[in-house]
Amino acid sequence: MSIAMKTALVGVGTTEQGELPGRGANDIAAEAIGLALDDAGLRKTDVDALITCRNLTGRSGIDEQVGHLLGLNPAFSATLDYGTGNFSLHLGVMAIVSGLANTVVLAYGTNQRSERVNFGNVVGGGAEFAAAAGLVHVAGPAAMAFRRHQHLYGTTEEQLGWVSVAQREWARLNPLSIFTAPMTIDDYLAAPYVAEPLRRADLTMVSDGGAALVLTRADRAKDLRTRPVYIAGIAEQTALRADQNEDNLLRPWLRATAERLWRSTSIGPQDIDALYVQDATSVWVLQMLEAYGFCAPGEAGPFLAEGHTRPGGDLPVNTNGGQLSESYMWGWLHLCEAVRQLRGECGPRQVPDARFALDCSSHDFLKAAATLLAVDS
Amino acid sequence: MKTHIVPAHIDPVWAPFWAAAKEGRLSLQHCGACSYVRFPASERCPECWTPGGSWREVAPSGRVWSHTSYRRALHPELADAVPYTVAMVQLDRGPRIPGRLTGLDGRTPVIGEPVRGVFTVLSPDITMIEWVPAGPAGEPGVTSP
Repeated sequence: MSIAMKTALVGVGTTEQGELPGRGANDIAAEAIGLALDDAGLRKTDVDALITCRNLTGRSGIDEQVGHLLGLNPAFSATLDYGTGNFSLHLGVMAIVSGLANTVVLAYGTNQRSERVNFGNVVGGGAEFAAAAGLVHVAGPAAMAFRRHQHLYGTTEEQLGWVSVAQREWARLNPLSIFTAPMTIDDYLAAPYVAEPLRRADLTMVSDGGAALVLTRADRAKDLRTRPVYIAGIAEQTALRADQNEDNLLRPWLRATAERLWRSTSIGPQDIDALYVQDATSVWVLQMLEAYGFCAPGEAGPFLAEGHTRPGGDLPVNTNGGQLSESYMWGWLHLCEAVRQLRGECGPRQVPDARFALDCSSHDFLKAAATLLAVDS
Repeated sequence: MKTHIVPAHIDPVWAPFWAAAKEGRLSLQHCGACSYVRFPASERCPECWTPGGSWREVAPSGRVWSHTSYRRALHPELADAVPYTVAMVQLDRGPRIPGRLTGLDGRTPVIGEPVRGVFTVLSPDITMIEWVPAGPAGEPGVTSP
């Protein structure tokens, strides 16, 4: 059964990003939901499903908390752990296509910066052993993954640097961005290593903020005031075998997600006007470009250095600045940006005539998801 | 000075691993049904789902599969440890496991270079297998950090 074009995003809401001291994560999510409903021109009573995202602390972001705060009795509600926007969006699509709901709000709010959440913790079966080895924080395995890429394909640090530099160029055009200081490739290379060969600019920031989206049935979307952004395809793939997968550092299972997505549609990589990659590290962008077929395996380094992903390039990537420069919202802001780009609302960073956007995300070394978004021509 | 995040308690599934490490041996679970050698430790074989498995000694030798050097502490408990290098080691006769790589004399490791295990005592219960270049110098043994 195809889910293509059966649902559409009709509202997006983004709160102030950065530091929101004294604010609870659930309240930040609630604010974002209000903004997203206003954007769609919908009211509280139009919502019949709520999907929230639990924070890393586990203490907030639970549907029961957010639904209570908003005084909602939705027909369907659920909480995802570490749901990047994509996983939550897919659950929303399933809820609508299955008939459980008609209009879903999806939200994530976090005060992880103000709460000083420790992102050094390791997860997974060998977590204690890895921590004892000193292999902490996603930066470590991501650095090892980049070393493998260098070893296999001769990729250089300068080539990788173009991920961060290009995203900073985009971020400088986005009023929501937190990191907006100019950064050249020379600035990048002159910065010290954090987890060699990765530098600070290769790693996500930690920030507070909220984001929400409203998803509804395509036939209802046509009657609303925003230009509907249709869900044209979805795909997922897990790697729950984790380190027992062959060369899990390079995350070869990303390719299975891509193959599944491209098989489900007549759209191909050449049709994508803007690409979004959830970027816990810059290495994820390098991997996704190859996994989704935007360049051949091993060629992402030269591809990045050629400038395709920069403002004015033929494959704009993370036009919001991504988690490296805009804000750290587990991929939620990538989805919000994709919707705004496809609606043509992005001012100086607008990709001309954008019709198709692809959002690729991953939960580090465990899960991947992709969503193809489209607007009518 | 704290150099490692020492496991606070021993998970029963891991107990034979740590007991062997304390004696300077690398021991991994071998599935009795399908012979799959697994890491990390787990209750049953992820290949054929047979519970348990026997712990057998594996030679502490391998090659660098990949590596990174932490120049900044990315965990509060490692503030005194940096800089340090972690390698993913492909065991000559077993899976890949992560561990500190020392004895480099300031040089960057090379993917594929042979390494041998040494055992570092972290606490009365926990001894960690770590790695040094498999040159002619030195003999395997138990050291203190």
